Amino acid sequence: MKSILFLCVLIVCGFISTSIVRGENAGPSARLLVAKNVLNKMIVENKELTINYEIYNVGQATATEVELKDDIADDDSMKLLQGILPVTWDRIPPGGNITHAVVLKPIKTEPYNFTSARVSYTANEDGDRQLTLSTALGLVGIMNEKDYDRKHSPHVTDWAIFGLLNIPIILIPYLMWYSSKSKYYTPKPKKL
Amino acid sequence: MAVSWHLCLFSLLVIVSPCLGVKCSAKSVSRYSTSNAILEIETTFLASFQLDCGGKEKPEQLHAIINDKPLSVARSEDGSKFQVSWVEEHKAATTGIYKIDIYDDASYASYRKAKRSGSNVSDGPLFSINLDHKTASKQGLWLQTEFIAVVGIILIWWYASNIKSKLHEL
Repeated sequence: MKSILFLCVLIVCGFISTSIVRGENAGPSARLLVAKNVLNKMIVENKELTINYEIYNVGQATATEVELKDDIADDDSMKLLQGILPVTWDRIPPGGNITHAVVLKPIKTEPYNFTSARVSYTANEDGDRQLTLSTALGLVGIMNEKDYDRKHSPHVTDWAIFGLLNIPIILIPYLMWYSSKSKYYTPKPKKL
Repeated sequence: MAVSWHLCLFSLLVIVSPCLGVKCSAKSVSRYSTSNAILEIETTFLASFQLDCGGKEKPEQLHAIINDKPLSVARSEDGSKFQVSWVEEHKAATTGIYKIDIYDDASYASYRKAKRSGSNVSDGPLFSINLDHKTASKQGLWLQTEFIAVVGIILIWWYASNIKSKLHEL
């Protein structure tokens, strides 16, 4: 008797728990994954820094009113050169993707912490707003402009100045030799 | 008499009204493409613009087509600025003019209909933005300056040693 009662209670509890879990999510919903990539090999002060955002919809429904926000555009140590932030798109169909690029310029040489961008979207027909965070690069050092120039610029002016400085060093002995040669040198008569 | 006058007016409106349709153009166009291949891994193309619809209602949704491929158009929060951007490998991003065709809902539907039926007749885009791009390079002369300096020094040394050996022959 007691065991049968216990079994009944267990079965009823099982039904209740599954119904609670199943009841909330009816219908397909969208799910966005966001990758935030820095397209630079090196990040240099006062040189362009390109960031590419890739948003993929891996859900079964269309994501609508997609908004992308990133704090990097408002930061004091970065200047937005090209591109718009924050932006919105009207819809991303299931299986679809969107890319967005912005070009910035670092103003300071202190290491910068690349945090996640935030994407909010309407996931299903009920109008539920979802927020997803992108990947984050973390703390990255920013190279000094002088160090970068020393390594990678063609140094044309430096070599030109070096050439100009060398000209008197080479020309003066050459002219001295040439003047003495033209005064005293007699060509050897050819043997007949 | 009144009827014919109304008929004239009506027919005039029918002829003129399609021309009065929303025909927007781009203003404040900002174009960008990567030029430095040392700093960047891939080439980024970017065009941002504002709409000038002559005071008429601005379309909210825009579509972009580049080389027959659709690209989504991002809109700023206040709806005034739009941006089209894409990323390619440096080698695939050849020098040339990239034509970005911008459509609104109606012209985009007409474009897709024309594409599906295989005909070439469609309304055409609202406007096009031309992006002039030169393949991203390693910046600087194509011969390294250090190489030029070394070659110059070797030439001078060779000339001097030639003269020196002639002197020794005497």
